[in-house]
Amino acid sequence: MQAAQRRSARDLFVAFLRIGLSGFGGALPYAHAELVDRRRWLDDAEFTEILSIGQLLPGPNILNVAIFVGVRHGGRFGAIAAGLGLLALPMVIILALGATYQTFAGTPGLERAIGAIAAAAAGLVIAMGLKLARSLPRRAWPWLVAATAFVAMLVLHVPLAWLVLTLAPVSMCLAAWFDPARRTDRTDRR
Amino acid sequence: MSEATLPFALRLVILSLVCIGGANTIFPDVYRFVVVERGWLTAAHLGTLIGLSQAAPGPNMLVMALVGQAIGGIATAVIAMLAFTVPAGIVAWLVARLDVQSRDARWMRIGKAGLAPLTVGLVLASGLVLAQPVATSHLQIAIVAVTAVLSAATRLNPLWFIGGAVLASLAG
Repeated sequence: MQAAQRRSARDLFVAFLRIGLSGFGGALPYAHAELVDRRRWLDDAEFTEILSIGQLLPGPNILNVAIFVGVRHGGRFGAIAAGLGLLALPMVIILALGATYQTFAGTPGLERAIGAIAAAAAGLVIAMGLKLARSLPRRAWPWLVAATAFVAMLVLHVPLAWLVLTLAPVSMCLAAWFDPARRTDRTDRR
Repeated sequence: MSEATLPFALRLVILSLVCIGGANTIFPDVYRFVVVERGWLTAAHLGTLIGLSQAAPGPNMLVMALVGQAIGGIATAVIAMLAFTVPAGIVAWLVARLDVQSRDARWMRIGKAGLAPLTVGLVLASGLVLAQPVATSHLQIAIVAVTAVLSAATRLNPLWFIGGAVLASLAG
């Protein structure tokens, strides 16, 4: 795999500013749209990879994604630029809304509009999952792992921490066993 | 600032460092601390703030700023966001540096290849988990379904779907 292309701190700031200023109902689908669909800095597989680590780390997933993309493409200052872009302006906006929401709390239609935003946001997360699924290798084991995680969370309501602690080691063993570079790696080491 | 500022900020540092799977997973802990233990806000007030943060632009974690604002004003809001993001951000930065340094290592490649399908399964499941409470009418179900299918099949900006959903809700 080649090293990630360098981006200026300004580009990283602007990209994550756009993500932060969208972000209705959760920012991850907008991050996918900006970084994969629009700017093509990452492909679906790389986005899945970064999101995987972001989910495993403590802290908000979208912040972890911002810092990962920032470090990969712009080092320390890239990470700071991405994090500030993501949070600074949306924070000003939300505090202004917080200070004034009583004045528009009774507006007719507001409840319905908020419900509709939540519905579209759920649809966007499902769509992102489908897009990321297309990037999985065309083999049996990744799809088996994805289906197991899906059923465990949605149907069996297994707590997320347990699910990750049990399924991640199994999945990594499968990845090691079926690693296409297994043999070449061994010859490399000689 | 108020006497609530420091305990709230300290609690956010701890919660940010133990929450795995995103900011949404810690709402129950914030509720327990802010409403039940300390009585700084009523349950209804916190619910309004969470709803506001999800409908407003920006990541959902900004609800911590709103809660800070409600219990201690602007300064508490800023301190709350710093508490929630900086320590966790430093952890992410350290891991990201390790990732850049060892991206060609075999263990790193296998670790990522193993995590990817898990993440795909979890993203799809969490989309449906989010859809369940909002699927309250035919219109709402249609919004979820149309957005999921059209957004998956195209590279359209997600804001089109948000705007379309709002218009449909006002017309319907």
